[in-house]
Order: sequence, then C-alpha cells, then structure tokens
Amino acid sequence: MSLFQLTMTALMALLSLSLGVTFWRLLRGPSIPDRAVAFDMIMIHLVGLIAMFVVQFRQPILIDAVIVVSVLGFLGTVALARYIEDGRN
Amino acid sequence: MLGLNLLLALAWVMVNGSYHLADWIVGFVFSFLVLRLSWSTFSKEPFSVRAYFRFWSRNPLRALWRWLGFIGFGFVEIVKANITVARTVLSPKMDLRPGIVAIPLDLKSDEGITTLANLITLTPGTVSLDVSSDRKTLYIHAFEVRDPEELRRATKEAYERRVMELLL
Amino acid sequence: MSLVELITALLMGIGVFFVIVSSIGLVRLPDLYTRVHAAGKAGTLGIIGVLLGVGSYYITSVPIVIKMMAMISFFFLTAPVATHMIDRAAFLTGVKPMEGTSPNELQGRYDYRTRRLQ
Repeated sequence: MSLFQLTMTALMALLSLSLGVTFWRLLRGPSIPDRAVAFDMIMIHLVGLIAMFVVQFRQPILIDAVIVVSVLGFLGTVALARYIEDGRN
Repeated sequence: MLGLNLLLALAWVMVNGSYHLADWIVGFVFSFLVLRLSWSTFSKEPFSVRAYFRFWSRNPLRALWRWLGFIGFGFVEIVKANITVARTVLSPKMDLRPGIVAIPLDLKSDEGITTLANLITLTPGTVSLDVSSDRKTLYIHAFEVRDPEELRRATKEAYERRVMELLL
Repeated sequence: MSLVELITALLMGIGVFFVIVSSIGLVRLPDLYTRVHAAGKAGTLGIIGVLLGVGSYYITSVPIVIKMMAMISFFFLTAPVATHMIDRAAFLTGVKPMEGTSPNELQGRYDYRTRRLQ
C-alpha cells in the first residue's frame, strides 16, 4: 500500500467519523428542520465518500453515481422543506 | 437563445463522452426541443425565429469578462466565510450575537435578487432567509450583529452594487 | 507520491477538514439558524474541495474534468437554495431563534394563513 492510498484511507475514515457525528443530530434534532439540515449534510458526506472511493480504487465509472447522489440530495432537501412548510399545524 | 442551445448541446456531448458529429447533432436537436417546450420560462416574448437568434447581451465578451470577475470575487468571499465559520465552530467558548435584519432592495428583477441571495448565503457571517412578497425587502440572518445599520450599509455597498453591475 | 497525488491529497484534505467543521458545527451550535450557517457554507466548500481533488487526479481525462466542473457549479447554485428553503420552512413552522437574537426584524411579518411576507 502506497503512501497515497494510506492518506486516502485515513481521509475516508475521518469522513465516516464525521458522518457518525451528523447522524447524532439527525436522531436528536429537536425540530424537523434540524433533521432536514442533518439530511442535507449526510448527502454531502455520501457524495464525498463516493468521490474518494473513485480516487482510491480507480473506478471513474462511479463518477456518474456522484452526480446522481448529489442531485437526489438536493431534490430530497427541497421536497422535505416543502413538506415541512405545508404540514405545519 | 442560440447560445443556451449550444451550451446544452455541449453538456450533452460532455456527459456522453464521445465527440462525433452525430453526437453534436443529436444533442443540439434534443436541447432545441427542450428549449421550445420550456420557452416561456426563459423569454417573455412568444416563440419566433428572430427571438431564437437574438443574443442575450449586446456585448457578450464584456458580459463574460464581468461574470468571470464576479465569480472570482465570490470564490474569495467563500473562502473567507469558511475561515470565519471554522474559527467560530472550533473555538472552545462560543459567544454569538445573532440577529435577523431587513435589507431594503434596489434590485428589481428576480434573477438579480436570486443572485444576491445566493451570494449573501455564501459570504461571511450572513445567510439570506426570505424575500418579501412585493420583492422590496430581503431578510438576512447574521452571526454577529453589533450594529444593524452598519450591517445593512455594508451589505448594500459590498454585494448589491456588484450584482447591479451585472443584472438590474 | 507523485505531484498529482500530492495535489489530490492536499485538496481532499482541505475538503474533508471543512466537511468535519460543518458537522461539528451542526452538533455544537445552539439553534437551527446558526446551524444552517455551518451546513450551508462549510459543507459547500468542503465538497468542492473533494471534487476538485477528483478532478486533479484525473486531470488528463477531459470528460471527467468537465463533469467535475459541472458538479462544482451545481453545488454553488443549489446549496444556498436548499439552505433558504430549510430556513424559511423553519421560520414558518415557528422554530424559535436562540435567546439573545437581538434585532429580530422578521418577527410578526408573516401572514401565516396566506404565507405572504410584508
């Protein structure tokens, strides 16, 4: 294992740790918008992890997966925000 | 509108990953159909050949140069904003003084207000919350409000003036 | 480590740092409106750093570089929009700002029934 791959593995581990921290807010969040923010952040973490996977294992075909996940994350956040707005009271 | 059509065709070719003439033609035809179907969202006048061939700006090169300068300015501001956020989040004792401030707008068009709101969200210390229904006031949330008048003046001078140079 | 790998690791390191900052902010900051600051700004720059890293690793392949540029502009355009929508939904559903939000000029400006804002 080269130094570069070791660095990538360490960065992926850090990102996974940070994903766990974000999950805490998703579970705890006192209001639904808090959970929406946490969902947005989880999607960002996911995009980052797949992007690092692409570099680590030299699988450029997965870049299309990065595009799909980021679009889904944005649309999911927007849909969630609309739902919160309409579902008040 | 021709420029937008070519841009969409370019996107099609890039995502496809092959650059044959047939790909360009297919992408051009598809993006023309998409633009024809969604014509009313891009242009106020009805569809015609003359409206299709008209350029957006009278001087496209200068407009492009201005947009590039604006994007560079925005990127520097984003990096500054992130250093501020990192310093606030990682400091052991957080003393925040947040506030919600109303900013009167001189911008008229929806495009200009959208650009300004996005710029404000990505710049240091402020996030835009909402625009009033008559498009005359923008409400922003700021990390540190020492003097609301000062914040209002600084935002108008630093950001709204720049956006007004691009879009009225 | 070659030069390309060094640049990639550096850009990705910066990106991961800012993503971690935003997730720490998400947990530490006191109320929703300040958490949105952390998620909207640091998250955007962090993911842009990671994507720039991918682009620099595959710098010789034009389609991948173009795709990464498209992704970066996509994030620039959509991350603030998602932030506004969550903030607005939170204010409309009555999520209270933290104690000591000193000028609150949005208070009482909404007509909650028609959802219009003065």
